[in-house]
Amino acid sequence: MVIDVELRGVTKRFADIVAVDNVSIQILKGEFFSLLGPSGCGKTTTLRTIAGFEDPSEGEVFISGQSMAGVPPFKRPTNMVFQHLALFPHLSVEENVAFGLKVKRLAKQEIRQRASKFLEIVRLSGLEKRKISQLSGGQQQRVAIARALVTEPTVLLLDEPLGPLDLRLRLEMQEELKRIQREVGTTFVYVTHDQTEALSLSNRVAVMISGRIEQVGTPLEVYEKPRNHSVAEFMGETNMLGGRYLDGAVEIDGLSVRVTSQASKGTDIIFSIRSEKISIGKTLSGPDNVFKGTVRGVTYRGSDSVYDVQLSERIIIKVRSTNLALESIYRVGDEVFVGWDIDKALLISSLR
Amino acid sequence: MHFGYMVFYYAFTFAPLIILVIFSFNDSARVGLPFKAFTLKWYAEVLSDPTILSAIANSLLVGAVVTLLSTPGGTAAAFVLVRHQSFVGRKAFNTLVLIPMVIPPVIVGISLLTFFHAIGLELSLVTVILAHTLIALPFSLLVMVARLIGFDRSLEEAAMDLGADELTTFLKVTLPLIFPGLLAAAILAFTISFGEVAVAFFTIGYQPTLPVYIFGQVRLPTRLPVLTAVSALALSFSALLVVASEITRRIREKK
Ligand SMILES: Nc1ncnc2c1ncn2[C@@H]1O[C@H](COP(=O)(O)OP(=O)(O)O)[C@@H](O)[C@H]1O
Ligand SMILES: [Mg+2]
Repeated sequence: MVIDVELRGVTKRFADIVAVDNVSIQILKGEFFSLLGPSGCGKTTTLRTIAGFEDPSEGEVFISGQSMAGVPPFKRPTNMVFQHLALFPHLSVEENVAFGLKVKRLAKQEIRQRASKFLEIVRLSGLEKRKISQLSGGQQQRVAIARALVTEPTVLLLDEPLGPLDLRLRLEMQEELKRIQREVGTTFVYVTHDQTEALSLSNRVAVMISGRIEQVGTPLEVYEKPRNHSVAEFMGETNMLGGRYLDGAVEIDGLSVRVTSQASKGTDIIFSIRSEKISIGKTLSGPDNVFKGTVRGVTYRGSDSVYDVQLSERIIIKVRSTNLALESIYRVGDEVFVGWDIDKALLISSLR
Repeated sequence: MHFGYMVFYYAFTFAPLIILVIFSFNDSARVGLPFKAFTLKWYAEVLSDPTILSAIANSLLVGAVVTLLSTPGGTAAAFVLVRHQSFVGRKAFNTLVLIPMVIPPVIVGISLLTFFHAIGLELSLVTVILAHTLIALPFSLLVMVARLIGFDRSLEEAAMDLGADELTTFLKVTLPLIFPGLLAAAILAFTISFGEVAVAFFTIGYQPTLPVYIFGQVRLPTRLPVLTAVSALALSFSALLVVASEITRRIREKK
């Protein structure tokens, strides 16, 4: 395994703000690696530190094993697709793509060949002479990607490139990004706050919260096995329940919830159970835990619905259910049963 | 309604200029109605008068040098003001640089005259150039500040990211993008210098600029027709300058 990018204890402070807090990650060659986190958690700053636009306050960035300390952006083997694209408005599509090659003073012939090859990869052939302002949002994304890939960087950094696109176009561009990455084999470091995007695109995901990397793993790992409270809460739609652990069950507001746990008797624990792991029905048998409740809220979302189900005075849990049939769509006030198997609940912490 | 107002607006602003041009073709030694006959003799007189020609040459020279000094000078200052947020005393500096714009020209003239005397600099076109540069600089600065505030710096980062060093980035990205601002600043500087009379009057040596020359001749009634002709020429030149710059801008935009 070759490591393309490594951050060792990187911290970045702006006055009294710690934007990036002691981040250490290793990104492998050819990997599609995502930095996932809420807005303002330090994703852009991390990317800019790799690109060389910010100097780390502490720690060091390595690319292909080389320390990047003191190396200016124009000497780093990284290219960036900027959050707002930053395409050159005074240049045509072709000139934008050729920019990096011209700066490197390649022969005219080769510049034309390479630019046209990458315009083909992003499927923009025929639009070479267009001005940037004459392109649609999706086409502009493609220009930005081609412009950044054409100089064949070791690492491509992408900062929420699909943010401004509408849902349909975003899904289409996600597919395109996957295809392009397979085709060119370049290491992608992808920043997004959209977990579906991160999970569906990446080989590995780093979950970043408040400047810190909370967990690094495959999409499956970070979603199914969140390492701590913050990750569990950030990923998906989850119910956090807490109470005192006694003999294989937790007592919560009069309910006895069975859990698998190595916690010792008498300690307070918190566990998380995702909304889609909970079954709901007029009758329900099978799951280890079954509770009777009342529907207090319904969010109908077409393919599925999310219910707020009250189980006891203080406990209302979110349940997501696929809308298989009209009969299985419930209304506020309906009496329902909800349930889950004990292995679906994740122990988050023994304290809090 | 709106249309009517605009007709009035243009009539109000352009009528004096149009009348000036009309009378410059009037075959009469007295400027005024009636319009006797069409003639080009006043223009012929302008072209054969060496003092007028040299005044025109002086004005063009001063204007050109002032433009070459104040455009880069104002631009550099604008870069510092807009880009270096941390610059100590920036707020004070912001206000200070604009003060020359609101000082009455006569006072600027006297203070410069005093200053040049004090440092022992003899009055000549050089002192006029220095004076006009001082007047034009804040205007160049203002135009460029407006341009730079709207400048998306991630474009420069994108260029560097793609391998362009600072100089290449400046030449290939920054410069083309601020070009319309530079053009506007240059034309403004030239126009200010070309028409300026008050400060020039104080700082001029023995070689008058065109406005100073006209100013000196205007009380001689016999010279008035020639002056209308030379003024009409200056007017066309200024108009030509604006039109040319607008065309350049459009062509660049189309490209
Ligand atoms: N140049 C800067 N100066 C001061 N604070 C900054 C600067 N850049 C980012 N920050 C702050 O650092 C934090 C992380 O920002 P950013 O990396 O842009 O987050 P994200 O991309 O995850 O939304 C934010 O609190 C932001 O306000
Ligand atoms: Mg960001």
